[in-house]
Amino acid sequence: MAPTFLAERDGPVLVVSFDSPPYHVIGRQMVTELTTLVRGLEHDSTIRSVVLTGRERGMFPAAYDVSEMLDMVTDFPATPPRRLIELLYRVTAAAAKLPAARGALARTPAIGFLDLDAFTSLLRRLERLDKVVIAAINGTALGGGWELALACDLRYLAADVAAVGQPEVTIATPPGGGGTQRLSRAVGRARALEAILDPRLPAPAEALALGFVHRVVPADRLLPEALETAHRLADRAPVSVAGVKHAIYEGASRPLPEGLALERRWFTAAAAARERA
Amino acid sequence: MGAVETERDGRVLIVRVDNPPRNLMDRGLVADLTALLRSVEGDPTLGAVVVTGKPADLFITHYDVAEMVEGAEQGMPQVSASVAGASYRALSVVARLPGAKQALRRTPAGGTLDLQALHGLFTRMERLDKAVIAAINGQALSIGCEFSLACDIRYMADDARAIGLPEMTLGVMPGGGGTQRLSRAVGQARALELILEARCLTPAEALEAGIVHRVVPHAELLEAAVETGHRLARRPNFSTRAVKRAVLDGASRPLPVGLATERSWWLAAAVRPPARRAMQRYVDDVRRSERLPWEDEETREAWRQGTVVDLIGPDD
Repeated sequence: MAPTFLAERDGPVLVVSFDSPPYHVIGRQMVTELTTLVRGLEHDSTIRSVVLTGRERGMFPAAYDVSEMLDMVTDFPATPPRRLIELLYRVTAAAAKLPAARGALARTPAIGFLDLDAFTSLLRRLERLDKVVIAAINGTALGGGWELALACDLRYLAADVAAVGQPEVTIATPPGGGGTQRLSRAVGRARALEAILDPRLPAPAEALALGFVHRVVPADRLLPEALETAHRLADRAPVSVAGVKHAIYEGASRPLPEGLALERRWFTAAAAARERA
Repeated sequence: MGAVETERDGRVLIVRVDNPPRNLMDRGLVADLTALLRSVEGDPTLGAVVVTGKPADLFITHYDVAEMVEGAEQGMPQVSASVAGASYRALSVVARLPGAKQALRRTPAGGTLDLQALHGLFTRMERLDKAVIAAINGQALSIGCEFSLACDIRYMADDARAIGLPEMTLGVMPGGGGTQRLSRAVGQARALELILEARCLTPAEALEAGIVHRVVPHAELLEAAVETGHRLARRPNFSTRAVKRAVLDGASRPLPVGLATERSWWLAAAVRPPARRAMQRYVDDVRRSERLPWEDEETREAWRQGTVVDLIGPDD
């Protein structure tokens, strides 16, 4: 199978260009490949920023592969209690860390949970990376595709993209890849709740006004602008980038004293790192 | 129920608040609304609730100041916030005992009970397994604003004079959840300025700030809200509840906790028959048309309207 993206270095910037025909959706293969890439980046201090984009117009991940989502739930009884499913999920995710258990799990209905766990863990890894991650969105990004963009630090959107957002409720589920959490934290609860309950899926101008994206850029300027920002931010100290991301992503939704303590810890670490340099 | 008038329109319940002469929120209205919510909780034949004011230009105005003053006069001597908080919590526990409420009503603690009932009502609205839409047809200040903030979606008439939390001008602060819900709705920076300055916003300003979701000509307000109500009522109540719980509960907790909340609601919704039917239809459409349904504007709109797959079945 052809890889789902191409990763090219441009000095300290890594450009990841998605190309996963025919539908350009996220699925097991893309999540596996991207996780391998991001794990490598965690130990690569020569790359300082990452740009995620579609190799051509329309190739930014459009959504999560719904046929794989259907596989996740197919072998399940229809209405088990929520807490029971959550428990099964936790057990499955924990067991999957043991190589010997994976084979056995593959023969149970719970195997679908591993795909969900892999996707959400990948998004957490992007957030925790000590590099700035920029989504240069050059295609419709809905559901899981939009959740990938939400897990990036900056979102630039091509002006000719039709729509972005979370339409999951139209298939009778809430978003499952962090959309309810990250959109609420990005734009506030009021706008997020309406956007998820009644998904009008904003076009670029509205997406900018609502705070879904940071910039709307003419299509032919999208990658150049994203690269310019990526290069400008590439000289930031890794510990400071990690610290700012962690303090904001983790700290801003905790009680204030905890958030402040978190910021203080990272600030001290950043100051010590500068001292050593 | 004296102060509320209800009308069923398919799966949408239209609630008109009518508490003459000024449509003030008072003890009786809180009780009526609470009783109404209790009666629709878990009702599978309703999918959305629209709340508006019955008089043409009155939504819910503020809390009955006479009742509030009465509460303050009988009630609390000057105490610190921590003492007041402890007494509130203690009273909340005592009030759950049978007969205790009536007894407490005649004591200085009566005002505290009212506040507790008001908070209970707002929490009930947020926990309801149906979308709650406020059609704000007149000015919404103090409790009127706080009431609308406990709704999921807010549409406002273009000629409604103002929305906001002006309590500071009366020497008090918002007490019906306004400081919490406004901060979470639009961010702390904006909320703090609006409350400290007691600045009320015009419909256009409220839209810009993100406090209301849509401004509609007065004559079309209820129609617009009901139309949205019908659209949202085409989703299973379980999915609506899942979205509300993930956003409202999850989004004010630490991120990992919120993500776990969302995940468990997603799993619970995704295994249910309506989600399976919808996913199957989506997959079939992709196979047949060889493109994603969401890529095309017309199809995307049909999915949004909830007319592609019937999600409301006996199995939900």
